[in-house]
Amino acid sequence: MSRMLAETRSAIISMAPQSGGTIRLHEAGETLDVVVGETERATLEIMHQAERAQAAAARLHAGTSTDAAADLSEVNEAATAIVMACIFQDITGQRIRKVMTALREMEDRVASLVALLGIESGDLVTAAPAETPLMNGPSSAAEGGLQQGAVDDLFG
Amino acid sequence: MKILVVDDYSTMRRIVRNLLDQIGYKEVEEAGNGVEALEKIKATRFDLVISDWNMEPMTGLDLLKEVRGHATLGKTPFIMVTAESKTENVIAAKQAGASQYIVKPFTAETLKAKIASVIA
Repeated sequence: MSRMLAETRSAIISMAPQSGGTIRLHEAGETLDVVVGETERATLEIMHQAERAQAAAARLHAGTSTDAAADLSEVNEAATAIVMACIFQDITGQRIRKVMTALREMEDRVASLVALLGIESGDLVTAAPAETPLMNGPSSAAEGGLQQGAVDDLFG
Repeated sequence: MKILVVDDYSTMRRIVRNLLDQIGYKEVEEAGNGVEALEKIKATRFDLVISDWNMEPMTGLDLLKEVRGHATLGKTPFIMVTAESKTENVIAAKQAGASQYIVKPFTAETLKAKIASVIA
């Protein structure tokens, strides 16, 4: 009994956040909030630059431009800014990977603790998921998600 | 043509509004959820509703059912634009009376084609 308690204590201690390349588990939520914020900012920047380019292109197309060279430069600068804004994907990708690493580590440790305590899968009682019919969110093809063509077929 | 864009994500509303502007539809209003949209639909006659599905406190599907159940607004063209792409979702939307169903992410060409098909 004493040995088992000691091992359980060690297992719980090992669930504590690690220093180094991964993030602390309690920081995971904050990190994902940052990802949401960065994504939103990048999208707004991309939209702003696209609208700027569209306005300059519309002036050129309609023949109402007072400085065609300047408008062409504006389109080019906006396109460059859009490309730059897309860097957010790299940064947010790294943040998400850190969160995933922390969650995988936690999952491994919880599994170790469950095994140590001799808990069988049948003993685990899970709460019934909240009723959210037809609110699955994005689904890949492997998860049963349809492409637009298949949706069109269903609509006839 | 007056169009109502319903999505709880303001950036998505802006993207759809921008695409509609490029296509040539300038009269566009926005709503952040089904409840807000229903209020606007009852107050102003829209020629087309473009709605997301996953919103609180009223989903796009519930909004669609409310619109279809309304005596005078029941025939308003309604396009569901959503990341919900499972067969049961598409069937539920069709059974509720959706005019068209667009899966996110989508292209301007898809939006243009679906609008043309429902207002023809």
